[in-house]
Amino acid sequence: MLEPSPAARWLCAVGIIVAVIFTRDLRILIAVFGVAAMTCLYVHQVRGLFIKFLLWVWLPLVAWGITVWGGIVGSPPGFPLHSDAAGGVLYAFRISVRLGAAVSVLQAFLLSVDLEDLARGLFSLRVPRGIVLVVLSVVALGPELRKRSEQVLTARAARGLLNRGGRLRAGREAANTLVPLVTWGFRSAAMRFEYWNQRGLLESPWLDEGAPFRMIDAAYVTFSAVWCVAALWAYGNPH
Amino acid sequence: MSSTHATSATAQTLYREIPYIAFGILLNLVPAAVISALRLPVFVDASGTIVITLALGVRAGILTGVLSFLIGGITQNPVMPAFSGTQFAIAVYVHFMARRGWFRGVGRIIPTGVGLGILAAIVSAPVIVGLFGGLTGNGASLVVAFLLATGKSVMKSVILAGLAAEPLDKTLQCLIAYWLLKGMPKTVLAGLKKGSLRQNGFVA
Repeated sequence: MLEPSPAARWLCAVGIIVAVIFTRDLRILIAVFGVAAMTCLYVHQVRGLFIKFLLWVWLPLVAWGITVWGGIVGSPPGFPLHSDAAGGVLYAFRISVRLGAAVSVLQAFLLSVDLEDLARGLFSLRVPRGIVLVVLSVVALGPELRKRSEQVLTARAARGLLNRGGRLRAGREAANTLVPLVTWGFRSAAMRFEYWNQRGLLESPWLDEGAPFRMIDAAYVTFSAVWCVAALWAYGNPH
Repeated sequence: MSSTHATSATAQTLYREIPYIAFGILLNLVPAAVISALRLPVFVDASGTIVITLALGVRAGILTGVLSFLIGGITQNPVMPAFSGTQFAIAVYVHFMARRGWFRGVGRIIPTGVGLGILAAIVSAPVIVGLFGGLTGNGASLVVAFLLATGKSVMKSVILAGLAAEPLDKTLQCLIAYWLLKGMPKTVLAGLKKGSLRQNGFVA
């Protein structure tokens, strides 16, 4: 009951992320990051991608930031070299926490929605139906293309066609490997359009059905909007 | 009446492009496995944008590039949406150059790719500085760190590091897109709206 509707999720995510980008108070950023990260780790659909983000993007960024701004440069941007190592570390930390907070809010709000609700949320926000259809097609086609790309790779490797050489030769090899995939993709795109057209799916009123907007959604959106406006008014400049 | 017909025709053209745009988005997001199998030192995150721009024109190219980075932000790497402006610029540049004959042959594509790399480096730099403080945690961060240590500003360091890596990356991607379209069966290309393909020199 307390879960926000898909449209409210989109609006809240945008509002909170804008506020996070403009907020300079490290305590607020840490609090947002903490709450959103705990949510991501708690929700089953989000956990895997969030941990991947933490390990592959966020931690290397923290390590690089602290090494460079705290050690190699020894100061935050705009200050003379090696004049304020603690300031450099603080700058790196703030940048990392801000990115972590923005990403975890995005993932917590949007990755926990299933495909149907995602589409209904976009329709509720009056996103053009062409764009919603593109999003739905991508989600539907993705696993099929992954499977076919693995088949093409396996076939070429079995025939000994995955030769390695210089970059130009490897580029040519990549194009040759991708040709069967792109040919399949273009053929299936043409067939899909014909299918949609014959069934009248593109003009169907079903595509305009959005999810209902409830009182609790209004509360969520108001909260994120108020915080967003307060952050913009209080800080004005992201750095 | 004629306005309704015009709107309907525009919508029909857009709907015809939707499955191709969706495939172009996947072409930006999925072939990472192919590239890693070939151990190519490039990101192929714009090859779908380039292919669709060359095949269907600038509107489809922009939609492919921008939407692929917005969707990729939810499904793959959450920092991707910040770079969707770069994809917009790539589609516009590729369209502009292709219309002037700069995708007709490898000899012309190489300078086009270098130009695209310079453009991508310049357009991405403010995002890298604003969002990451100049360091993204990948190999280019090493170059940025070196330049910062020599006393250069963050923006200058990020642009110079981008100029060192992007031209090669984008040239290879332009070549891959060209070879892809040249290597495709003519019967498949015949199914597309031929305007862009003809103007860009891919069909007679």
